[in-house]
Amino acid sequence: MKNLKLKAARAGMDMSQADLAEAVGVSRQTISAIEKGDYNPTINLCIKICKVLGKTLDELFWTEE
Amino acid sequence: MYNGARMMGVMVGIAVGLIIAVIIIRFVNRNKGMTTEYDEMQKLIRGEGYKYAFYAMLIFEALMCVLTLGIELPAEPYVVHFMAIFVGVTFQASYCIWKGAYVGMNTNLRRYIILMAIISVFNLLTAFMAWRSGDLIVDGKFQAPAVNLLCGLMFAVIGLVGFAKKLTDREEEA
Repeated sequence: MKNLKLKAARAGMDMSQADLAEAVGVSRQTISAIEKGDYNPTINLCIKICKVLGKTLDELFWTEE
Repeated sequence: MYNGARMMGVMVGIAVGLIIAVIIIRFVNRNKGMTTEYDEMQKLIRGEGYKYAFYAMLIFEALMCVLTLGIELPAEPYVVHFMAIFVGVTFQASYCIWKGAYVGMNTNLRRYIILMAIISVFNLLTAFMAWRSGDLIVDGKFQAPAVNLLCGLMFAVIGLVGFAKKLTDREEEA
């Protein structure tokens, strides 16, 4: 399932996938895969992404289903 | 058919290949380190890549074993075994490229592409020269220079997969 919340939060910070990738220490392809729903990141990476984007885990990674 | 000189030649070739591999790794890594760094997703995908490459090598070797029982292959046995190695490497590299796990975090991609192109062209040229001098195929069988041909083709295929992936990524980003 696509992670549109992450994509929106990143775009809201005016960051490219490459910018976010560099900030959290992963490859651009990994950010792309997370946004497309092709990869489930570890909790450590989720936390790093949340800190960079100023969001909580719930706001970025919790799905209402 | 099997002699010490040829065996020594192949061993020297493998040793030179390993030394070149070490130089390449140090040259293409931004921090000049021997270890290419990958993130968590890349490590996972590379593991899957190794798995599929292992299966591909097994299937290829098994197929060649069966074939040699029935027919005489148009290549010396060591060429066939090298082919199995190249099949495995091509599978692993292609899978990782397609899943975005081939280029490490500390890899200078431009340097890497240039080196790959040089290695591919150098090996294809060596094979071409051997073909011109009649050393590529002797008595209807591929000889040692066929390894250069396979190596050149392998890097060319890996390059093509990388190019196709880049085009696909560009379409996705647009």
